[in-house]
Amino acid sequence: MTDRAWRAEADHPTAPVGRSPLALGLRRFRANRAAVIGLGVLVVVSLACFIVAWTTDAGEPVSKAEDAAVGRNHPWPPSWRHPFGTDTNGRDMLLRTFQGGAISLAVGLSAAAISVLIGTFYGAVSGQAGGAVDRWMMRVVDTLYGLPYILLVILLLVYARQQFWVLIVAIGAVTWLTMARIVRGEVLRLREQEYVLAARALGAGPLRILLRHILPNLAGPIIVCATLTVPVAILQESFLSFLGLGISAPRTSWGILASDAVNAVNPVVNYWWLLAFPCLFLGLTLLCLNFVGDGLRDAFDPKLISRDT
Amino acid sequence: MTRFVLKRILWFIPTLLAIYTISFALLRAAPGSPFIEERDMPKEVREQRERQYYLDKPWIVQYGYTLRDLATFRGQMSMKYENRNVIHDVLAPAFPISLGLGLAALTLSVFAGVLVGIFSAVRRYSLLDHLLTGGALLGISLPSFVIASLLVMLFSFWLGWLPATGWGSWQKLVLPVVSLAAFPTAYIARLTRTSMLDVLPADFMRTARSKGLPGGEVIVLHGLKNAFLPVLSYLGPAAAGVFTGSFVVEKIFAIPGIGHHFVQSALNRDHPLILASVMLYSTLLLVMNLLVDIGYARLDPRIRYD
Repeated sequence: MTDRAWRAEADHPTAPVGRSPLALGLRRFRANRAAVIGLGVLVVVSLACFIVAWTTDAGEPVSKAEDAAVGRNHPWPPSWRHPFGTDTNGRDMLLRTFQGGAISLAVGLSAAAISVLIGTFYGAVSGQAGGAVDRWMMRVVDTLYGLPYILLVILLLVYARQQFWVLIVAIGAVTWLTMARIVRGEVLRLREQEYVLAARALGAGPLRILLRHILPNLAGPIIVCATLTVPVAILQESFLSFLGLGISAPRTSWGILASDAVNAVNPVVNYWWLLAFPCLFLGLTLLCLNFVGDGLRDAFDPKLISRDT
Repeated sequence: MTRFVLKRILWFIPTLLAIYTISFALLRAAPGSPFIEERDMPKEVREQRERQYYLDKPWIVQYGYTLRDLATFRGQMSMKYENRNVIHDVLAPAFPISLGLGLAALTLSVFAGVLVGIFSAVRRYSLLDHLLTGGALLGISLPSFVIASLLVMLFSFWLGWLPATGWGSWQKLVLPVVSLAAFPTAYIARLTRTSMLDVLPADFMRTARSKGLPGGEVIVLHGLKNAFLPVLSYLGPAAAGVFTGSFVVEKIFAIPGIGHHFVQSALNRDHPLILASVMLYSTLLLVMNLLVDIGYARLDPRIRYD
C-alpha cells in the first residue's frame, strides 16, 4: 500500500482507499455554493483584467476627431461606445478599470506569496525550535501585531521613492504575522505526533522532519491562510494608492482610480461612473476572495473555524 | 498587577527606541537631500537649514540630537510648513481630533459588533443570521474609502441629511466615524458570533438557565463574559487599524487630524514631521495595547501576569 493511501485509511477507517484528505477537502469545497460562485467570478474578473492589460497600452485617449464629432468635453457618461464612460483625459474607463485591476491583483498575489514564504518559514522555525527561542520569536510577533506596521510600509516607500517592487515586498513583509502564528501552532501540535516521533527514532534530523514530515501536512492551513492574505494585500495596496503613496503614474490601480474619482463626485459635478466602476470591481474581487477563503477554511481545516474568524 | 504594568511600561522604552532607530535609518538612508526639490535655494540658506536639522553633523550626532528633541518634546521646525514646530504647532492641535475620531469609531464598533454577533449566534441559520453574516462579510471586504464614498453619495448628496466634509459639529462626525468603524465592527461581529457559538452549548449555560435565570441575562452575563475574550484581544490590532485607517477617512472628509499631516509629510518628505508622527502613533498604540492587556487580566481571573 502506498504511503498516502495508508495514511488516508488511518485517518478515516471507513473511507475507501485512495480518497486523500485533499480530495475530501475539494469535495467539501465544491458543495459550498457561495465559494464556488466566488471562485468563478474571480476567474472571470482576473482573466478580463490580465487580457486587457496585456493587449492594450496604458490608457489611450479616444481620438480628437471623435471628440469633436460628439461635441462634448470629457468625461463622458457611459454609452454603448464606452460602457463605463471615459475619464477627464478621454480614456476609456472600461480599459482603465481592467488595467488597474491587473495591477491590484498582481500586487495582491505577489505580496501574499512573499507573506506566505516569510510566515511559513518563521512559524516553522519557531515551532520546531521550541523553548526559549520559540518564546522570544513569538514575543516579537506579538509586539509587531500591535504596531502600526503600515507606517513602516510608508517609511519604506519614502525611502525607495515609491518603486513598484518595494510596494510588493513591503506589503508582503508586514502581513505574515497571522501566517507565522498558525504555522507555529500546527508545527507544535504535529511534532508530538507518533509518525514524527517514529521518524525521529529512525534518526531523521530536525530539518528533514520539518520538510518531509511536518510541512506537507500543513498544506491545508497554509493554502487557507494564503487565500485570506490576498484580499488583505489588495486592501493595503488600494489604501496606499488612495493616499498617493502606492502605485505611481502611468501605472494605475483600483485604489488610484477611486482616489482620482473621489474629487469628481460632489453636488456640483456628478461624474459617478469614475468612482462606481473601479469601486464595484474592487469590492466584488475582495468579497469573492473572502468567500473562497472562508470556503477553503471550512473545507480543509474544520478546526480553524473555532480558532479564528 | 502593578508590577506587570510597570514592567510593560518599561518595555515601551526599548520598543520605541527600536522604532525610532528603524525610522531614522530609513529616512537618513533615503537618497538625496530632503531639500532636493528646492533648486533655487541659495547655498547659504541651504547650509543654514541643513545645520538646523543637524544634517551637517555625522549621523550618530544627528541621531542623538533628533532623539533628544523628540524625547523632550522640544520638537523641530517642519521642513515644508513655514515657521511651524512639528510638535507644538502641527501635531498638538491635530491630535485630539484624531484621537476622538478613533476612540468614537472603536467604541461604536465594539457595541455594534458584539450586538450583531450575539443576535446572529442566538438565531443561528435564521434569515436574520444570514443577513447579518452577509453584511459582516461585506464590511470586512470593502475598503473604507468605498464605504465612505457610498455613505457620502447616499446621505449627503441624495438625501441631504448630513454634511459631506468638515469637522466641528456632531452631524459632521457621523459619516467619518461610521466609515472608520465599518471594518472593526464587521470583524468583531464575526469573532463574537464564532465564540458565542462555542459558549452557548456549554454546561454552565444550561445550569444557569435551569436555575431559572432569564434568557437575556444568561446570554449576556454568563455567555458574553466568556465569549468577549477574543474580542478584547482583537482590540489592540483594531486600534492600530482604526488610527491608521483614519488617514483615508481624514482625507475624504477633509478632517484636520494627524493622519492628514502624516500623509502630507510622507508625500513631501518632511522628515521631522514624519518622525514625530511615527513616534506619536507608536506610543498611542503601545498604550492602547497595555490597556487591552489590563482589561484582559480583569476579565479572565485565570490570567496571572506576575
